[in-house]
Amino acid sequence: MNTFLNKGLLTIALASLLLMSACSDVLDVRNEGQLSTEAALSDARSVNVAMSGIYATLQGTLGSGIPASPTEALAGDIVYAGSDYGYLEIWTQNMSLFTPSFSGFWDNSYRGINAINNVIVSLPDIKDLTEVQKSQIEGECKFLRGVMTFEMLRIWGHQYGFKADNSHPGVIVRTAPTRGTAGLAIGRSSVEDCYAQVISDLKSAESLLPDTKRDGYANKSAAIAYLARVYFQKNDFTNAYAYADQLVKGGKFSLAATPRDVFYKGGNTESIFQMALTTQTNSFGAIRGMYQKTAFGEPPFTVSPDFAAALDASPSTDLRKQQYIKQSGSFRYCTKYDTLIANVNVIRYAEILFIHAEAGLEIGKPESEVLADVNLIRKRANVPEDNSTTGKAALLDLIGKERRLEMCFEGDRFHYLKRTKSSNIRGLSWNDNKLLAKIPSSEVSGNPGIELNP
Amino acid sequence: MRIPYALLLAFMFSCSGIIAMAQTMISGKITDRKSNEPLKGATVRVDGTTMGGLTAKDGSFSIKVGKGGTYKLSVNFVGYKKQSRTISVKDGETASAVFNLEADLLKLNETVVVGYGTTQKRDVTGSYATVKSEEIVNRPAPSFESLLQGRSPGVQVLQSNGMAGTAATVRVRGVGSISANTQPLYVVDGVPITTGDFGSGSIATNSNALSFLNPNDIESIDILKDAAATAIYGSRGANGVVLITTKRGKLGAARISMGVSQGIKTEANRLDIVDRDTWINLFYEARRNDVVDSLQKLPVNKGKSWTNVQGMIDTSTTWQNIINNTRMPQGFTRETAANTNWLNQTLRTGNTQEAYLTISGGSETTKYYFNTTYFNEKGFIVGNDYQRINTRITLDQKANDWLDIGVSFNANREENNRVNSAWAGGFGNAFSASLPIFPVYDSTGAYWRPQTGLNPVADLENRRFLATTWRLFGNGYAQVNLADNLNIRFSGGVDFMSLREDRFAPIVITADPTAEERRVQVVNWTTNAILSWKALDLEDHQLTVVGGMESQRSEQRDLGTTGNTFPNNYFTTPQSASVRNGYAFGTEFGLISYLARTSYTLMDRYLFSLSIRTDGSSRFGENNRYGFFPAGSFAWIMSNEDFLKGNDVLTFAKIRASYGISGNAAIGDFTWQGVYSTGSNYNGNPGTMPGQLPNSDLTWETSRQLDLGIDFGLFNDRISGSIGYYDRMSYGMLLNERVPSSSGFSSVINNVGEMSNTGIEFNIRSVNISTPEFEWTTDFNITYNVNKIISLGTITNPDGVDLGFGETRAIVGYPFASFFIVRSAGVDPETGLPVYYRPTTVAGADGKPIQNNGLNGRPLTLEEARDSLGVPLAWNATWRVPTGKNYPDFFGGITNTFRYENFDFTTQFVYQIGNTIYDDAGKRLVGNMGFSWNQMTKTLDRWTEPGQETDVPRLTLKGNRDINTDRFIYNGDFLRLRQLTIGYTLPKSMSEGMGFSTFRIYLTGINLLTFTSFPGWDPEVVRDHNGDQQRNGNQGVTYLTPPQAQTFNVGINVDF
Repeated sequence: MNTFLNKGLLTIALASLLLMSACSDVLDVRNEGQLSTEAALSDARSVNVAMSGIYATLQGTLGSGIPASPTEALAGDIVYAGSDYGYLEIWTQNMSLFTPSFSGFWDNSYRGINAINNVIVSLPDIKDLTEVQKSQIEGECKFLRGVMTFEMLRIWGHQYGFKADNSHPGVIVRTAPTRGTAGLAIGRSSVEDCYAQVISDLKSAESLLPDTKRDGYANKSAAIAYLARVYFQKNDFTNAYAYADQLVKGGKFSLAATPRDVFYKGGNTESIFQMALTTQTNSFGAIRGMYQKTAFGEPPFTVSPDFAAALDASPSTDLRKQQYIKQSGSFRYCTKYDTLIANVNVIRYAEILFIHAEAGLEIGKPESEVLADVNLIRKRANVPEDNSTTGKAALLDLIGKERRLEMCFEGDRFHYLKRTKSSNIRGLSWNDNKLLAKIPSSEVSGNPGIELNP
Repeated sequence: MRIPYALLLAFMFSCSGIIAMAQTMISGKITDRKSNEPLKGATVRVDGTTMGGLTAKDGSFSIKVGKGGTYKLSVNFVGYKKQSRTISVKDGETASAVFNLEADLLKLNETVVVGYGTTQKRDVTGSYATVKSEEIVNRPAPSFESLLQGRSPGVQVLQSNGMAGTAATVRVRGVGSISANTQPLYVVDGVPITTGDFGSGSIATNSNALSFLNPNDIESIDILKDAAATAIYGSRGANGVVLITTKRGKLGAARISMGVSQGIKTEANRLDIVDRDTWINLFYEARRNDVVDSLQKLPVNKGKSWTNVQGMIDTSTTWQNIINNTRMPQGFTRETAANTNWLNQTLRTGNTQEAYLTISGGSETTKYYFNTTYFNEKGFIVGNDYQRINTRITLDQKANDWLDIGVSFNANREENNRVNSAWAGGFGNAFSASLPIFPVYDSTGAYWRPQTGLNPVADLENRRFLATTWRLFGNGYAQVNLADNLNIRFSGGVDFMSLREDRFAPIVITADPTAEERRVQVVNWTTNAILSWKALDLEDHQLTVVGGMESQRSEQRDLGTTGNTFPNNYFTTPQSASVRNGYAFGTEFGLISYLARTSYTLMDRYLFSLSIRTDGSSRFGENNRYGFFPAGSFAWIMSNEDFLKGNDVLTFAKIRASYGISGNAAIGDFTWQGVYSTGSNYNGNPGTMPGQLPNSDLTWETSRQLDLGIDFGLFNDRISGSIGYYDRMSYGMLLNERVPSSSGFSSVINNVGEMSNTGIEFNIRSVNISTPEFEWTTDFNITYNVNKIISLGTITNPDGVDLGFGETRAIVGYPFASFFIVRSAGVDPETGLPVYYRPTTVAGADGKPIQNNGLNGRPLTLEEARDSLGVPLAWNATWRVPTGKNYPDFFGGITNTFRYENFDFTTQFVYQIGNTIYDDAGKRLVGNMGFSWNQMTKTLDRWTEPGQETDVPRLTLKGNRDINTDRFIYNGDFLRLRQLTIGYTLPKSMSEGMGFSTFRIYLTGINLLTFTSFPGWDPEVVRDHNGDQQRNGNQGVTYLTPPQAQTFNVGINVDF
């Protein structure tokens, strides 16, 4: 009897010991390196950190010369001499589902857009943010979403006006965060709808953002500048002029002292929106690598004979001949990015002046005003002012030539040629399907029904 | 020390003695039929009663039966066949009975360890393979697992390579997953242990958490193969379970065993590469070819043949000068070129030493076991060493008549000097980028340093990568015997691993010396309570029930720091570095389980078993936290039926069938969670980004398995074996399914893949000769396995899922780890250029184009091998087709054991048939002078003149031949003399005179012979990779992977 009791007692004691150890939340584990979405967006600090993540994705594209440098390979101002198959596909006007710089641009931009949508959705519940701070964050989110959507739209969609009603496909518009696997495969919006979304995002940003300037971050002026760029790209000159004019009249921006200053000096008066690069997060190497001459030989991108001719036609005093371009043996290459590290301009005042000039001309502003804009650029480049050109066609030509030299290799030329419906973009017409990037395989394999680019 | 059993019995049954004053007894003796030696410890039982006992040292027994009558006595002894006989005894008298037991070659009453219990071999209904201690001890091997190779059907084992401290891959019944771990669950004395690779990558050799296991401590290894056996391990049973039972103290006086061994170790095979002069000639031949090629293309030479132009060059001093003035890599000329045999510089004769001491023994109440083993290895690659010290102690105590308690504790320390190998440089560099024209030392006597790349001798001799592992492993139990047929056992175990990596790259190998110190700590603990109840124990009905619960938790924490910029060359740890960067990592998982099994035996011939387990795991999505894993099995011992009883030919026959479900939970600790990850920093500020799409439905991978088998014994069991069939379907395999990348994610992990492994296993054991002087036994096993990918979910691209480098892939309809590669059509005899198959595209049933397998497998005609302009077709990635596979059709082993008087002799061959090996380095080592690598002698078959039929193209210094084609896929069949042992045991009279009970001296050779057509280093190869998916797909792929080791060992074992 005694033994029986002992056995029972011991068994119960051991069993409860075991149960205690087993029930103390064996299945409750801690993921130390990662946070749940809820925890990652729970308070002011975590939202700020998530915002850094969003800027970092943009830095991975716009901050490393994507899509700028691949579009240069399409536009004809450079010759591609490298052996990267992705760039070769672009250079040979034979893009595929896999063309890495564009497919990476797509993936990365949408990663950013998803992160933006997560922040926007969570924002109302963040208790330790003031309304002012919330407006600022929402404004930055809307700005960045507008920028990303627009920059993709210019790569995957035909130029505004390709179809009269602009019902031709643009990109996928995503305004809700991805938090499950259901319903992810959605189609492309029309170019018309994409523009509407981009403009609405940028206008919200314009109204939400303060105008304090912080290099590397969005503000009101950046939103205004981008609105000018967007309207201009769709040839809506009235609006483009109006937004550009705000900046021209606002007096906040002016051209930097020398052409190279805007590329090499932080905090200059010309840059409107930059990607801030530090040595720790240096994506600058990618863009530098395309243009910079190294000990191993010529860079992948060298100046095309066509562009060289345009440059040579400019007066010999033109500072840009030394500051943007260098000669090395038989080839010339771009030096805008020939430094170890610098902030990368996304949009700068020189472009606003060109928009102001050209849109102004189109809507009938006085020719003197148009020439004044262009002469600001020429003066800074140490090129004699032009006060003699007259007539719309001649002025458009002047603006185009000046713009080509000033904005060279920054990813401007391709979109300029498409917007002006050039019939010769390296032999292709502005509306040629070969100028469209292909919807990347990363999208197609998860979204088999998506409308492909021809 | 022992209480004579007769006395004990006499006491026990004294009650019956009171009634009949004159004792009525049956006494007798049990002996071995062959040797007539007495058998101690045999069970003698009077059927239908509780009377009985064990035999004494002289084999005698004596049972009081109370009163006269006729009794049926059954004698049972492990390793012998059961015997029964009817004995009549009169009141008050003593009847005598002598039993000569016949050895049971099938060992049907031997204990088999099954999950959470043991059973007799006869009663097994599932599929188990047992490897005994004597099969694995005294064999030098890079890893404990590699000792299982060729021992059991259905268990494929490949040692990665012969380097010290490396792992083997073990696959039970084929590979059962694409992206999750496919190694079996290792359970040591009931505790699932930490396994895997915790070393930091980038040196091309994986480290092995199993390496701490000391073969000397292992009593037996039971490998659970079918669902009936593995389902009791639930969500971790799908890849098979390896149950390791360690040695413990046994009843008897203290037994002391000691042994020492010494061995030498070299590479098992050496790659045939060209020497200096040959390499130089090949280089200039390539240069001449390039000149001929460009001249032939000039308009002025239009129409001139290759031979013509070549003749022109050979007779032109100008051209000869141009060719000969071409500098070789790193600027060497014929005059300045050194003559280095880099293999001789990086390989050496290694050696091994082992010494052990075991002390064990025990009384009825206390049993103890102690072992300490020291193992030291100097590897065959310069700089590669390994050292292990194991200490183990166990204690089992019968606390009282209803309580047993016990503990075991292991403390192990390992030290591994690791070196760069394979693609990471070091040894891999010695036969690739290090050309025979390069010197080891420059004119000042310092290490010669190439402008790009490295000097492998400098690297191997000076890079420090010391991995020190402490492994503390302990467990304990308390078993309460609630009743004779009911007990509950509580046990708990802790497996603590602490790995410290101390790395330093000094100034002689890098301009910026770097140090790193990394600590990894893995703690893993298990507790369980198991109730065992022998519910029925009647003559015709036996029913046992096992039930219990178990919980486990495992945590890993990594912490490390790197350091740069040292004050001088003598400070070599991060402590002294001016620039330090730290990093940290942590992960954990938990598991809680409930299990039950019931077994029922009817009339000694119909066996039924049913098991269930429920596992809850932190690794499973919140909607699928708990998994349920049932299995059922049935066996029929046909030979116990009347119609077979006494059959002389078929002396034993058992038919088995089982079906069940088990899981694979090796799916990553946090795979299901939707998370934000750190690291997206901007402008110096930390940033986070969504990192993983949540999948709350994510579960274990599942395997359902049907198993049919026959165990047989023929001719008095002189020939015995098993034949089995299995059909294993893995489903719900984790795959990254694509989601639209515009969602912000590229993929989500889903349980979607399906893969089948179907196979036949056969093993046979034949006692060829069995006389007291001479014994000869042969064991043979073979497994045939067919693997096929059934589904990859929504992944429909023709090249399936990439499994790593070298185009190894999982493609629907093909075996796992097939190669997806452009097929080579040889060399165009006219131009010497390589040509390839261009698959024709045909419309599939759904109208989408599908590729056929390269012109339906027909070789290209020369016309087809050229395009319309007559140019040989160049390589094109879109021409890839599935071809070859790296898992074999057949594998197994043949072991012969001979004993003649006091000599013993063992040979073990292992083999593998039907797989291919992809030599990923072949594209650079054979005929590709443009890559500036050394060349295998196969390059000498290169094309040199028009009309020549060969498979190695014209040499060139230009152009890109660095491409994957099936030219580098080789037949991977091999037959290898894995082990040869000759031993001599001193006759008892002699050894006892010296004070030993046993004295044996032996000589063992490992990997002495290999028969293969594979031209690389070694057909037994696993390309090392980080990550489960890569590891699953890269056996049979090599990229500069080192060979296996060949070892000669001599040793002495003594017992006293």
